[in-house]
Amino acid sequence: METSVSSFAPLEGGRQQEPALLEVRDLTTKFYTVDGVVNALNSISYSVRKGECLAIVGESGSGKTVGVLSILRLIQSPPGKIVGGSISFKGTDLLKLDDNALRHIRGGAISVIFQDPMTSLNPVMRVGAQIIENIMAHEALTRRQARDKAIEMLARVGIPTPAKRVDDYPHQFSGGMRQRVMIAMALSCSPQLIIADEPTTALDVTIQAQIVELVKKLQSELGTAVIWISHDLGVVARLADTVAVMYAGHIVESAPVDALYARPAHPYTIGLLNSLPRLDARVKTKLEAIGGLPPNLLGELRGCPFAPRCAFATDICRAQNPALLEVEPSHGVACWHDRLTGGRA
Amino acid sequence: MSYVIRRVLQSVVVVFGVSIVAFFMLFMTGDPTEIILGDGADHMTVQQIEEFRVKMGFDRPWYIQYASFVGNAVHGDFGYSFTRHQPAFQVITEKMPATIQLASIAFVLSLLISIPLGVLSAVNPHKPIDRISTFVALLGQSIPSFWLSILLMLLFGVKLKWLPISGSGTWQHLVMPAIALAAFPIARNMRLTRSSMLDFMQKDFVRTARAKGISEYRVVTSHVLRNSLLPIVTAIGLEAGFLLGGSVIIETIFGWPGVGREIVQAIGSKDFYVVQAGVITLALIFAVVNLIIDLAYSWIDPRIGFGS
Amino acid sequence: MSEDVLVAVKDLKMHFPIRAGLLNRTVGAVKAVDGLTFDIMKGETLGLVGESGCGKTTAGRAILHLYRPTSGEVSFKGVDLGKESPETVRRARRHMQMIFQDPYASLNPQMRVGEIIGRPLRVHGLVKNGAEEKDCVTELMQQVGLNVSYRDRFPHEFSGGQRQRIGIARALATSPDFIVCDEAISALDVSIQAQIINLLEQLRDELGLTYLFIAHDLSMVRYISTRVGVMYLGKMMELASSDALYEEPRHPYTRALLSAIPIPDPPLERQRQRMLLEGDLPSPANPPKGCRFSTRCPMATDLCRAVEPEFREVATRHWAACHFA
Repeated sequence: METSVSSFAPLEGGRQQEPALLEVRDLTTKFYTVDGVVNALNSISYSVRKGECLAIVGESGSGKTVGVLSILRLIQSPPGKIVGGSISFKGTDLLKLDDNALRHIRGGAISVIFQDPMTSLNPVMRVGAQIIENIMAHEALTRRQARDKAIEMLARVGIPTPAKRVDDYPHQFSGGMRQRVMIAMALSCSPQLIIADEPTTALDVTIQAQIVELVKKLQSELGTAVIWISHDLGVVARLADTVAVMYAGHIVESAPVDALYARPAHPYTIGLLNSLPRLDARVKTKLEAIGGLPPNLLGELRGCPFAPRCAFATDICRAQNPALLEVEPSHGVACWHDRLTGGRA
Repeated sequence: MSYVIRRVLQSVVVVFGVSIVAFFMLFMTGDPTEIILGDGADHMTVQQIEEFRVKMGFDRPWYIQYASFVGNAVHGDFGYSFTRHQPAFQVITEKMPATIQLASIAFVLSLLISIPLGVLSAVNPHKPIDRISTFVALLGQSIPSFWLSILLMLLFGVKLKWLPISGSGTWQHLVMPAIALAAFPIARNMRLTRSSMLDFMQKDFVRTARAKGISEYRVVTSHVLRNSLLPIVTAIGLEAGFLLGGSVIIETIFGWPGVGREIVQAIGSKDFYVVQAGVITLALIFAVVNLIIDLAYSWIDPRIGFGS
Repeated sequence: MSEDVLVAVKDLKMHFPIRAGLLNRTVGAVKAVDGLTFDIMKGETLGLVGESGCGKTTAGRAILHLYRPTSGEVSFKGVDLGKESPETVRRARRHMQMIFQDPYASLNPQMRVGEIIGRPLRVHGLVKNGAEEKDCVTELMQQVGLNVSYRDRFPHEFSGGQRQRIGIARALATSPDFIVCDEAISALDVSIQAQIINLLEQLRDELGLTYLFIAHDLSMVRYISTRVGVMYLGKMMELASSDALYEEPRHPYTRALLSAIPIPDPPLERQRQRMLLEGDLPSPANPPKGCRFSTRCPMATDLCRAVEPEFREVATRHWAACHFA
């Protein structure tokens, strides 16, 4: 079973001429656990252009986090193992880099904002020290200069009285402020790509709005590309330029954001959008839930991973996994009976 | 600040508790007069025994006796040693330096060996260094200290004749007792360090540290180790107690002239006041060491210093 | 009192003492709920929303008497439970149940699913023997969409959504009138949330249940509720019918909350006006003077900072606590 993507060049976002900043091709990752082999990622491909915001959407078990953290080899290994594919960043295959070279990129050209700011910061180290540590690892500055830069970053992300707060410990900040600290840390070495792993999931909705606006502002100011992992289709609508939808370790659909919401093609995407209640709905329409259970990633899978829950599944769906193919410019779907064109089976 | 005061008060309460137990030991096994007189009572008339009782103050109500006991103790007066013909407290204080010397050496030895070994094991799980260290730790925790002492004496003292098997005076006298005393703490601290480190290696903030591209060495020291040490520091406090108590056996076997050996001998010769003085002094030291450890802990972990 | 009121809450307060200092004296209190007054009508679904620290979960538990209220009254079917004996309260629990948030923590991992669902029947003496219990459990499992042959399995063998169904079956076992759903779907995947919400609605229609639906997902709350109350720092800021609250919010906090919720519609999102709040939530141990929201409200005046506004009726069956509502 393969998902060949050679026939479909992943999302160009409309700007065909520019080469991609990051290009992931046929990435396959497995987890070797006591219960068996978990196929976390099955030959996925996506790309990000300079300054673009790509959102990767999925539920638990979709592989969205693994698919993105693999870029910097931040997956627990063992039991995880990247078994195939390539990750090309500005022309270099990151998977072939040795540890030293990779460390150079981590926190420098590519940085990460993690989900839970409470557990993602060292509790016994001052926040300033944690930011300075990042700066000193990548830039040739003195300690004094690094400290000044850290204070500047804290101010940039909207933390009041940064010169005082720089010596505080993480537990002295509220959840939203802690996440701002993480953002300051991620930006400290002027990265070209930021990976944001569900950074607002653990936050209250008004704080989430603040953080989303902050990231959007910083992104346009600094021209940084962002990969934003989320399960929240509302946040994605606000932030993303392009969206990739993942299910059971496969990318099932990818499109520019307007196209995805206006003309979803994959039954899973359609199902997800229909199962969301709309805040602005005047008339109450019944939620159409996707039936069945979340996918089991253990062991080999035959056919399309969504087939067990799909209303349109036929024999070919259960036998062969469909490849991700274009159905309209820049809009790819992996479905034998996609709802835009009717399918190719 | 209130945490410090509260902690100090707790220690005082602990020492008082021990003093009560030590005091009432004399009454628990019957008439204190008979215990102190022992076989000598056979040769005394009832009247002489009664005189003795009054002279010692054993006819007073127990709470008055306790009050005078505490009053005297605060001045360092714990009574008189019958076998040594000295004040009981003096007997203890004379022997204290030797015990402290042995316990301190064992303590430092245990830290110097166990923590680096624990870190190396955690960073290289299942590799040879880890397997060997874990096995040695298992031995260290399973072998009783007195058995180890005798083994060491046989090998290094009798067979190889490298080290003296008894007494004190030179650094060679210190080697075997220190090793025997430190064996268990080394083993336990090594395993504790290893598991604490392994636990923290999985934490989210370690992943963040790696994502920043800092060196693995920094990740292990500044992030993992710094956090792992917190539970280890608490365990070390309890160790002070073990070292003081374990020293009793080791001192007796190796003839090391410390407080432990002295107490054992005093028990044998029913020199009651020496036993009492020794127990209370050891409790006091134990409480003080634990207090220091707790205060150190609250200083190391910034979250505790900030209260509720 | 109107016949239709199932639960009446009057000036409910839940203060949790903070102890500090040398003698563990009470130096203050976390005012989790600080004066809540509202009624829950029979058959309605009252949504209760707010952010962390607003007190909605505490309120839900206090209403079910899982916490003893610091002061105030909670009456169920006209009876003030605070004044009744423990035995009466215990018997009243038959009629009021709770579905919990965490499907992984709220089920006893040592008990089989059939036992978990059947236990309330036995506790309240609703079945005479094991056979009757078995039949009731079968019916309940079918009602919530669980495969009956799984009754002898343990919770860890089920997915999150299925475990939540087990929790619902357990809550339904005693045929309650009133169920508090405390963030019942927050821990589930998006695609499963819709399944469970549909189930809850179906059960409500079939069995005539009354729900108190506590959640932070306002879109979902709007969908399922007839009326919605918005809480902030232990007090109710606004209470109105679902449509009225979302279409004509009167309180600035409600407006800020609504504008912060992302809508899955990119063109709409791009042109939406955002009302962004500054700063962080104040601590419930030390709420601001005057109006609780005055520290973050874009419209706050000196009056707001000095005088706490009354929770008053600003339109038909629409209450708000704001001087300018």
